[in-house]
Amino acid sequence: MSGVRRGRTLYTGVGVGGPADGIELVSRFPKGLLVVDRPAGLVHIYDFEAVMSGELGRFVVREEAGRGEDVERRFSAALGSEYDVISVGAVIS
Amino acid sequence: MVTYAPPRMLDLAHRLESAIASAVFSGIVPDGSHTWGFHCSPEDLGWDRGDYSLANDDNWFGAQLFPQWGAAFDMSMSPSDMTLVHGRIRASWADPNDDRLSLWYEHIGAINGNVSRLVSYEPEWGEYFDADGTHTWHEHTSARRSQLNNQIAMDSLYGVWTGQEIGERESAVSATDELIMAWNLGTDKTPNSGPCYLTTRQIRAEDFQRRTSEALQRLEAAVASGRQVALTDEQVNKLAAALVAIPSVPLGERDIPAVVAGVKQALREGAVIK
Repeated sequence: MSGVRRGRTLYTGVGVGGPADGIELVSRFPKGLLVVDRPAGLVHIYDFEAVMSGELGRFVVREEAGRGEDVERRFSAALGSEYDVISVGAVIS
Repeated sequence: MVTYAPPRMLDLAHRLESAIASAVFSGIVPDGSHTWGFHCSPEDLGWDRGDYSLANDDNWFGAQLFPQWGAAFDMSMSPSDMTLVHGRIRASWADPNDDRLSLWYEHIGAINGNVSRLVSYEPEWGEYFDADGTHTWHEHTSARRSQLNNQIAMDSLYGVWTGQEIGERESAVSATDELIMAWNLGTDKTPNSGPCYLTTRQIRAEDFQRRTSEALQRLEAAVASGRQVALTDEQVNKLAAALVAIPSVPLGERDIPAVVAGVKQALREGAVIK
């Protein structure tokens, strides 16, 4: 089989603020990612800031406290092409 | 770009979130740099038979049915839930008495950080280690494109992910689902699809010819008129009822393939499911 290990762009950087502060993050989408804490009903939006080639970028949290989860909007984001959507459990284990 | 999310797959994602503590739906349609594979619709793939998601006959057949649907979804979760879920998938995949994953194509995830790709579609069945590290934080699941509107497939995967016993199934199967299964029964390219479910149905035999004939005549008339027709839910349900209106005789011994061929031909000529 072929086709699985194919080239794709990944956006890598360090989280700034929020639950992912100081943690290296990867997004498959250019604008950043949403870190979702379903048990707490919270979403933290991280905007990606690119840097020079070869260096880690930054994912900067918009609101330190996060915002209340809206499932419909979260699903829309997951179906869109700007932000990755990941579980907080995948970031902090 | 024309890739839409299959409604039943979205519904499945909601159900899986409810059942698995850390699980978060992470997407169906591809990111901009992802121009290959099951996340893309056949149209977005340019009908490239060289793409691995369109290579086998079953997926190619499914592509004709659902040309604008993506066929894979990602669920992000914690490493411990990932190990639990991918472990359950692997156990089901390895169990010769468990056919629940046969309606799906592949499952990429990690057990204790080790990524494996399990292909559960029988002709290509196997475990591979060629997927990238992003699958340590999300479980990727590729459907067989022919099964994207099959609720049995959705329920079967839900059962595996959530640790249900073989034979348990949460939701009922609609007549439309049975029709989808029947289409697959009509092709000899899908050895693992639905006959095992359909053969247990018991409805009076005398209804079969009449109901099938009525449904097909309606469909044929619409197609013959030369216009793009939509198969309404009512029509689908009647046709499905006809297809399964069979006593306890294996479907293969009835003239189902001919009926199925007629429906498929109508679909090729413009009929679509709404």
